[in-house]
Amino acid sequence: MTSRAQTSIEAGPAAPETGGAAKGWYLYGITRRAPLAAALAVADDGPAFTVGAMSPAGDDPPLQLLEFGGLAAVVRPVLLAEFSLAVVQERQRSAAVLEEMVRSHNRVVEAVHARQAILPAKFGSVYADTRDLASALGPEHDALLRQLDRLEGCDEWAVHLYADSAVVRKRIAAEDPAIRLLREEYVAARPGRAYFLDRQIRDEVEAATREALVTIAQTAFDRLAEHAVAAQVNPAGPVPENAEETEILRASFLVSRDVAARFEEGVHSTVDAGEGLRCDYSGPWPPYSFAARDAEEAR
Amino acid sequence: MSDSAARVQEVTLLDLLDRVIDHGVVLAGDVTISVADVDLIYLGLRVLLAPVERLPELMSTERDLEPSAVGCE
Repeated sequence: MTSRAQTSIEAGPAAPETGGAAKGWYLYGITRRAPLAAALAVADDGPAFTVGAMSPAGDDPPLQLLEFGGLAAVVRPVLLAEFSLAVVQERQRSAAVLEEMVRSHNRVVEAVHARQAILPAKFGSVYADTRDLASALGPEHDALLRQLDRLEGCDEWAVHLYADSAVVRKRIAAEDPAIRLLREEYVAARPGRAYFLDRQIRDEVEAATREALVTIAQTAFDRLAEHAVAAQVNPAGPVPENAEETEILRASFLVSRDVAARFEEGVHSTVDAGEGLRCDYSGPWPPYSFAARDAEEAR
Repeated sequence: MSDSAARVQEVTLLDLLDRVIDHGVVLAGDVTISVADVDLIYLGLRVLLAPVERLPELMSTERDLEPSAVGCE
């Protein structure tokens, strides 16, 4: 295990070199200034831990904390050349390399998150100079501290709610009073009238089904949000062709660890509440979805 | 744990991408040199890592809910 340096931004390490070996700083996130050596050691302990293809596995420079007032930026020195437009574009061709970069980023953020609140940085944030980072942190110092306060002890959970629309449609067709009346009329109608009634019934069922799916999603979101410190709806995935199952809700919840078990129970009871519903969820995550938004609110 | 609410691994990778790449705090001022093309990386990864059967869904931009049949019998 390598030794970890804690550097004060005010002191400022040497200015970046020029040429192909010029170094920059890859930012993982912002946390409180605190003894974090243990967290960084865990984060750095994984095999093949690299940021990009900067160096062979295991040879990367250790993570560092750049301290600024009450904050600390979790960074790693990287070669700027590895983050040039051309290299980034080339890297897109390899899913394996990109996936490892994403996982590496998450591994560091998770390790800190397990010990104290962290505001994860946007993936791929590289600063050419620690003074740039300091100038970016400066105006937001107090707001970032308040954000960290809000996130302390909380995890993010991802929830996907799917509905089998055929099941919901069948229920609507059988139970909706207006549609039942139309069907009674349809049975007694002459062929010409029956044709139009049939069209009308289809339209009514479809509209009522859409409405029911929106209500189911909204109700589920509201119920889960009761257990959460904050919640947000994310755009759901597109509906695949011919897929009866539709993702009706994709949402992120910021949940205090104290009530995580209750939140999970809530997820399960959401599914139990209606026929044809299915739910995938993942967590606990560091609060990725709540880092940027809270920053806006804190200003 | 019931069958219909699952804490699943398959969804975890997409959730990971949704979170790590698409979110995170961006500090004021534009002094970062390399958050450019993050959107491209995101799209590239989503397509590259998605199971084959999900590709059409990921590559389509918008599609309405199109029910295939309506029960009115």
